[in-house]
Amino acid sequence: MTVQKIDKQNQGALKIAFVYFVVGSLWILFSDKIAGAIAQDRNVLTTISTVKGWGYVIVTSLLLYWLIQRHTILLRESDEKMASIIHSAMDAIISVDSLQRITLFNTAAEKMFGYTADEIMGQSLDILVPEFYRAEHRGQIDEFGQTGITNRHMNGYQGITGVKKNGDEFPIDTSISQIELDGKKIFTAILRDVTESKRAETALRESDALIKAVLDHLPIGIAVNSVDPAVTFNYMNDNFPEFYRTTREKLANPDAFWEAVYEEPEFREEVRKRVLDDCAGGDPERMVWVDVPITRRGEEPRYISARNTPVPGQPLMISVVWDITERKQAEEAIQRLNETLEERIEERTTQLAAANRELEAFSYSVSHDLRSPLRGIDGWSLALLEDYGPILDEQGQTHIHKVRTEVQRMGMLIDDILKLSRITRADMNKEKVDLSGIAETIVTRLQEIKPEDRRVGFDIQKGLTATGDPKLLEVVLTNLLDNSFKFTSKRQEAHIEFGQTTMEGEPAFFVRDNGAGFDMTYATNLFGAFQRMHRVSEFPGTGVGLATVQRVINRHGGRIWATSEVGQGTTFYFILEDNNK
Amino acid sequence: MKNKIILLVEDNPSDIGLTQRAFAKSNIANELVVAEDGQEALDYLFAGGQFTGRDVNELPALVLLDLKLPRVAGVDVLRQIRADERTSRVPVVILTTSQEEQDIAQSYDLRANSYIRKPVDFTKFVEAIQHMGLYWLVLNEPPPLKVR
Repeated sequence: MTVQKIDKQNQGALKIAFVYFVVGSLWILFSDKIAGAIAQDRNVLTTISTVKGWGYVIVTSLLLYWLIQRHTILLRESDEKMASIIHSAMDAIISVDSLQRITLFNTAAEKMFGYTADEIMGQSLDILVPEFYRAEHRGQIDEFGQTGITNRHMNGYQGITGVKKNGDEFPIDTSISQIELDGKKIFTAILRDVTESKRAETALRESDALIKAVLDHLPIGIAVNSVDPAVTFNYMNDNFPEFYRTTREKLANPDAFWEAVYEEPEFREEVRKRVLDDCAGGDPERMVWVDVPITRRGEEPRYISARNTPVPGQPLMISVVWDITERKQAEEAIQRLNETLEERIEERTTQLAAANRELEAFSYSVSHDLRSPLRGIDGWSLALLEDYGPILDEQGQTHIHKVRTEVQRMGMLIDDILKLSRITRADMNKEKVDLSGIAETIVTRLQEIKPEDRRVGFDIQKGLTATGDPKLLEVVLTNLLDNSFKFTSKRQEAHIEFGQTTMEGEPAFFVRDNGAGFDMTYATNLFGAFQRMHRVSEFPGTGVGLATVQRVINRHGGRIWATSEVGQGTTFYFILEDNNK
Repeated sequence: MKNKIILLVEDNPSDIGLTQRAFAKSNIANELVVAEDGQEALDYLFAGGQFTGRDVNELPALVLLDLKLPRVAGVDVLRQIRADERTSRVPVVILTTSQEEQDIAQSYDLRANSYIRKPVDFTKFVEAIQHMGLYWLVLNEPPPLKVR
């Protein structure tokens, strides 16, 4: 019911009164004049007056009837128009009187609440309100009535719900208006069922929560921010401030990032400059920063790596940060381990050096103390022979000679052992060594000492070099070539060769002869000290030469092996680790 | 001219005997004085201990010094000989079994005049003594004596 309608109704009543007034005035003005003109007779005039009076009443009654009826039709048409608007409205429209009894309940309201207008008219509004909320609701309407405000959206009251006839509660969005008619308040509420939009809202909220949960559980920090060049955040997940060792709150203000994250001013400026420079270029390749320390006084430093990716078409960056502290710590642990390893190696080296010194002392003692008695035995045997030779028979003299021979042998053994031990502890000075040159020198010496009736052909490959200690490699070649020379001594046409070939894909040096050879069956200990493949009576020797050779090869990180056949000859192969590098 | 003394510093009786024998076989007539340890050698040279009263200026023509000695080691004997100006010019020949590089190097660093390794073979030893005697006692011009 609006104010406009009330004016219209008043207008209608005024119009009726006005028409009545005009007709009545005209009658009074003209009816007596007309009657006087028709008759002068008093009796006739009296009769006419009576008839005139009745006529007036009849005419005005008819007039009033006609006017009121016309007006009522207009009113009804207007009401019907209003009602059809109200009932065809999409929103529920409910009016209540000052006692909150329902006076209007449109079709949409019927649909919404499940009541028909007929059954609910005159009932208290309370039945449409959930029980717990009724008192408060009633109060809200009363309070609204006292404000005098014509209408109000009820958004202020969150979560208003209605109750359907079947008891279902549903969320509504409502506005309320009030009018006063004849001193009586009429409240009209327009309501909309917001179940659907609430559901959409909830779905959106759930989806947001899901996305948030996913982002917050990522093992990386993610933020969306602008760099213009002030860093301002639109979004960040939980890990983002966490990895930067700060809080969401501290990063809320524009450009608070640098101060909040880097506590050391100089380093802060350095990082800031670098990052802004990299971002200004816009090249995603450059927007990666690795192993950045994030320090907090009194705490272990942490490390992060970060990357920015520009959002296409927007002045925004997706900033990703990940914690690499564990990797860094692992690296540091490895480094520490390496350092202690070095310490341990140093310690071991010291121990080894001490052991070497002891060994030297031992060698010294062997050299000095074992040789002395030997010289004594030899000297006094000879003295015996010289001073008492005449009284010894031939057999006795032979015995003394044997004593002396054995002493010489023992002396050689001691000398060879000393050489072997010296080879083991000698300092290594690696350089490029001309193996062919060394072999030539040895061969020249062998040719000088060879008996005239021996025929030996030497074949030394030219230009062979290796990386190693020249003195030690000379020991190797000397021993191998001396051996070949020795074991070919019974050969008519001896042939000794030094060269290089390929064994198992590696270049290997070899010393080959066509000498006595040996049975490979017994070759397992070929390189052991004092191991001999021939009798002393056949070929002299102490059995230390090959042991010495193997030690030298081992010290060069290489290996040595031999192939041989009795009566056919022997070939020694050796590979040095740094061969020809 | 009276044959000068040769001082043999050697603790091994067998080696002493053999050396004496080698000298005899080499026809070296010089008197061979034997000191059986480093201290005794120093006493002899500087007229101390049992040699108190000996004329210090009567220096041996040659000192044959073993390195491995009881009490005072050979290198220390050599060091003291060289440190004292009365004896600093005396020819000292190291006569030892050791062939260790460090022994040889140290001996020369302390101004030994020669280093001879005693061979096991006695025949060779005799040869060595012969050569040495010829060289140091005949060919070599002895150092002038320092008179204080």
